[in-house]
Amino acid sequence: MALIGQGALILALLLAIYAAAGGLFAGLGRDRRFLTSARNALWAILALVVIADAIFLYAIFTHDFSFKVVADTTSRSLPAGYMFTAWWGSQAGSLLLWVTILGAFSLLALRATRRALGELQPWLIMVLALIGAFFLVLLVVPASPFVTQLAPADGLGLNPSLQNPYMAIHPPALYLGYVGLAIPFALAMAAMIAGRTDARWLVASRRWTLASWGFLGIGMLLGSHWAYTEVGWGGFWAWDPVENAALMPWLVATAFLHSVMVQERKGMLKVWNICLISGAFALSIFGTFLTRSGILSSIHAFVSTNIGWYFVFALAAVLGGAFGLILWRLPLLKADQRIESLVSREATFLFNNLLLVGLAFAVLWGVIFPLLTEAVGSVRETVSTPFYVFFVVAFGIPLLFLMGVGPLIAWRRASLKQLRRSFLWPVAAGLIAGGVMIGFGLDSSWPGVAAGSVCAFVTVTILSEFVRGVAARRSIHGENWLVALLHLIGRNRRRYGGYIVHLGVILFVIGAIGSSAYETRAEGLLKPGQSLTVGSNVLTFTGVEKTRGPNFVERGAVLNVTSDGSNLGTLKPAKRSYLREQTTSNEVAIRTTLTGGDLFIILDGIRGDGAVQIKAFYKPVVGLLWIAGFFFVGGVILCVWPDEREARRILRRYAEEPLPGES
Amino acid sequence: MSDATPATPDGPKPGIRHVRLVIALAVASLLGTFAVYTAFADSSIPVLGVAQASTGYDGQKVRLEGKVTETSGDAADPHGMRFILQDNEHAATMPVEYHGAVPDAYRVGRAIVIDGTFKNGVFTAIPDTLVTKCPSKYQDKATTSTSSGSS
Amino acid sequence: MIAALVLGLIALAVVVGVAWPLVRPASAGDQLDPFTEGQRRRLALREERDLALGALKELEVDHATHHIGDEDYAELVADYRARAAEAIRKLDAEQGQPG
Repeated sequence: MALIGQGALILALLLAIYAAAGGLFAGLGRDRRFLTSARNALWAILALVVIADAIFLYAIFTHDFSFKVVADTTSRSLPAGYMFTAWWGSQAGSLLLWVTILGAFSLLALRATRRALGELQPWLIMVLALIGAFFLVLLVVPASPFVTQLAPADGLGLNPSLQNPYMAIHPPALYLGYVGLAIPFALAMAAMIAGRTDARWLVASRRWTLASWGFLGIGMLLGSHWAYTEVGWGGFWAWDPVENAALMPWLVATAFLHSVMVQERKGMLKVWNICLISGAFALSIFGTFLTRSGILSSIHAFVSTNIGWYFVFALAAVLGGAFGLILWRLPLLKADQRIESLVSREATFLFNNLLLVGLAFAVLWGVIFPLLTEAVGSVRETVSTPFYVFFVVAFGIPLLFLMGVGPLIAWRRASLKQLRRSFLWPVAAGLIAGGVMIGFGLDSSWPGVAAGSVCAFVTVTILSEFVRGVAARRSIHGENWLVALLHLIGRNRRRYGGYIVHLGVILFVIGAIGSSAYETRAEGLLKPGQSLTVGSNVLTFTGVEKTRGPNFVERGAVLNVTSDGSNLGTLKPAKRSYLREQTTSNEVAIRTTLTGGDLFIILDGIRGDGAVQIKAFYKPVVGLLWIAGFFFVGGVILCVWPDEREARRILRRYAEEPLPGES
Repeated sequence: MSDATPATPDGPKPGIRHVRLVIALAVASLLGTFAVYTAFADSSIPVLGVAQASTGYDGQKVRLEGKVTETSGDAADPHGMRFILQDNEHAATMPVEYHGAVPDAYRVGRAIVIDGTFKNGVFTAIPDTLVTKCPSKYQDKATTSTSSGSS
Repeated sequence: MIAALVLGLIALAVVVGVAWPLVRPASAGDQLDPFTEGQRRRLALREERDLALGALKELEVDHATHHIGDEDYAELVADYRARAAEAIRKLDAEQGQPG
């Protein structure tokens, strides 16, 4: 079976190389036969990869430990649900998942570009097949899922930290994001090779970019939630290189989503957009490289094989190829118009881009700093949280401010008189919020006050947009409030979907500030009967309780929680010993209050005589972080939702005369 | 942004230079912030193996990498958790005293990373900075307990 | 041995599926027409026209929601109308030409 799997992957690799060549011949020779043949090859690649997936999953579910990867990542006592997630629990398995997603997406992308972009298809196939070939080389040579061994009696099991629903969904969500960025990148490269300078590739890639960006964002949020509840140190983001690996392409993709709007309206920033999407994809590859090459010390474990060099090559190819194509096509990529006024939406988006790219660069700097210092000097140095937090605050607060400015400012040129009217209430809200925060003693953190004020400013901006839009519809169409609102959102999905996403960002920022800048903390050693006070909560330790689970033994500290006299129940932070894996995990106890704050308790240690070391936090409004996720998803879905009228409008332009390559 | 002739028929507007200047200033200020911060803020610490740390870094805050060879106690004990850290490549060892959360994957034989200062023959760790990493398996996501200074 | 047989069969199926389109000789219908210069120009003009028309619509919305004052609105509307008209005029001139 393993042989069939390996054979299927080798065959898929050969097909990928063929498909790339076929695309090239189809593009150069303008021969439809090669295009069809290459497209068939892509289908065959997907079929072969699915066969490999099936064999791999079958081996996992039948506990076939002669597969080394299966033995390393599963065990007989692993719960059934997590056996499926063990697919991406290993390096080889996750690469297999990557290639499967890429194969499916490539075919979808071909289908989506039938109308008005048929000319790009040969080049699209070539670029996507080359990317696929790279990952297949990894699967065939250094990271094969089908390496066999003498089967041991039982496998090593899945890391207990991963046996958690969030860790089940988090990697696939991230992969959908990482791989998804390949499509807009390939479209951009194909458009440049074909010399197409119209915005059609942008429009076609928009949904892909949005969806990928959405998946990356949700993946990061899920990972944060896992870190908060499962890893349990009290935070949700550790600025670990692997976390940053997802953040960097996400930031650049955010910039791209905004600057694309400028290109669509004004025909500007063409080169910048191609640079952005190439950068996003390159960072996606870089991110994959970070999690697998062992170069940096981080939370995620690495295998220090030479797989790193494969990725260096891929990164060089992506950046070199993009750069070369841009240079070649530079004469075609002239802007149609220019920025006329700094007080315009274009300028706002441009500054937004500079801040986002600047932040991505700062994060990148922090990530590769150990490599740089080691290369230059002899001692490796590293930066940690304060470095990243500085830039998040320094660049993030202006960015947040721009988020409020953008909707209120017109394209091309905004009049100052109008701006004064539009900004009156939002600025007032910001100042009032700032004053209120200072009044409540929240000026212990100045970034907190600044961010809070700006959040109020932006919120009022966004709400005023909804109000104005509804009012305008009512005066023009005479609809009632609800109908007007629904029509407003339905007819302007991207704009209002975007506003909903922005609201999600605001919630996230408030949750992040509340839970970090304004948390209260207490710790102590407690004997039975003793208490610890954190904020307005009193935790009284009553004793240690022992329980057994399917594959672990748990010892917990039972704590009675009271607040202002009223009893809030018991919490039991615990330590769990996993028998098979021989590790101990921390199980934190979290109690969410009605105001969205969390009482967060960690059991740090149990003394021989039954005393316990407890660390407790009170984190205000931290729940907003997770609620923000719903706004985020809702907004993205709204933006991505197909709009029949818009599609017809765009296609009409291309249908006015028959265009080549339409199949 | 590429150079181009503007679409308006009467040539480049005088405002264009002004716009370009401000954009250039914006880029410069971002770079400047970055440069000033990285130059002046004490934001980085050396990452050392056990063998390197015992010489010449007394009293300095460093990040130590090594393998746990012996361990005793936990956060509940008066001296916290004590363990011996061995260099990943050489035989040099160092005793470490640690208070704070212990990540899930911690055990004897694990490679870890920890922040603190080396003083009087003992590495006194900064609380909650213990990070484990498992070089043998990709999927063993080691857990971290970063300092409460993190957001 | 079974593995080799299975793989062989799969490989055969794949090769057939992929080579099939190439087996028959090239005919006129197989030419993927290149984008001519004329088509490129016209597409660019249509895009310019649609950009101007789209901008006019957005201007209307922005004016209705009080993002733009009356003076700026009048000036920008005149400008976009001129651009749209120019693009349409050029397009009409192009239609008469071959390519």
